[in-house]
Amino acid sequence: MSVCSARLEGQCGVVAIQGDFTALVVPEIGRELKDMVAKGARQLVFDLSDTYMLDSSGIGLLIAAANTVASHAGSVRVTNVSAEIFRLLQSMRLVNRLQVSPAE
Amino acid sequence: MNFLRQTIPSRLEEAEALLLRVRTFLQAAGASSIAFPVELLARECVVNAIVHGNRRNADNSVGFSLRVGRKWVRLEVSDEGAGFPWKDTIRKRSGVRSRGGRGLHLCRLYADRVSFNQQGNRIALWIGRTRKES
Repeated sequence: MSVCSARLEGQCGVVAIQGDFTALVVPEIGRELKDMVAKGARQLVFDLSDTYMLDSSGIGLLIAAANTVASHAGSVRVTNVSAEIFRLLQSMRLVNRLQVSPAE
Repeated sequence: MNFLRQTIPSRLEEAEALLLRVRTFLQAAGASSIAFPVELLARECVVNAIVHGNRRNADNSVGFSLRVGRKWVRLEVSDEGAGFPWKDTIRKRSGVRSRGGRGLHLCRLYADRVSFNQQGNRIALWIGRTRKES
């Protein structure tokens, strides 16, 4: 089962996901994001260091988050992704749009 | 044993249990090098079957089978819905700002072969075990 922890530091919202970022957990993470944006988050950072699987529902939520904060001059970063997830986002041509960085 | 077959009710929680079983099965079958794409395709097809095919009606089932061969992995997913016009949809691609419509695109991207039945409520995918990286 995946766990999502979210914290707001000024205008920066950090979302760390432990487990899979897939259709089952997207509604819960979406609620967290909506709450953070309502409280003023304009930069969103997704830490996927403990995430093995990302599916199209998770990708859709990342794009929706990027679209939402972009309308407030904000942006999204997706950090610490595995090689498999990096290749997936690269093949979807989303690396630049989502500012994706691989795990070190 | 390199064959997994299961029928589940159309609930995402049931799908999650099945897909975690797929993960374990692929490791046990010695297919860890392609475990990520195979599980991803399984997820896309099973969730599509539940959400779009059966419209989350738990009275309708999703059929799932996965066979790991020496050269190929074959995945098949079916639902009890009316099907969809796959010939019109299969070549469409989502824009980078579009939230949805990526499931079939991922199938085309990761699978070496994709086929549907005429009605469009059963999909079969073949993934080569020596396929190049996407």
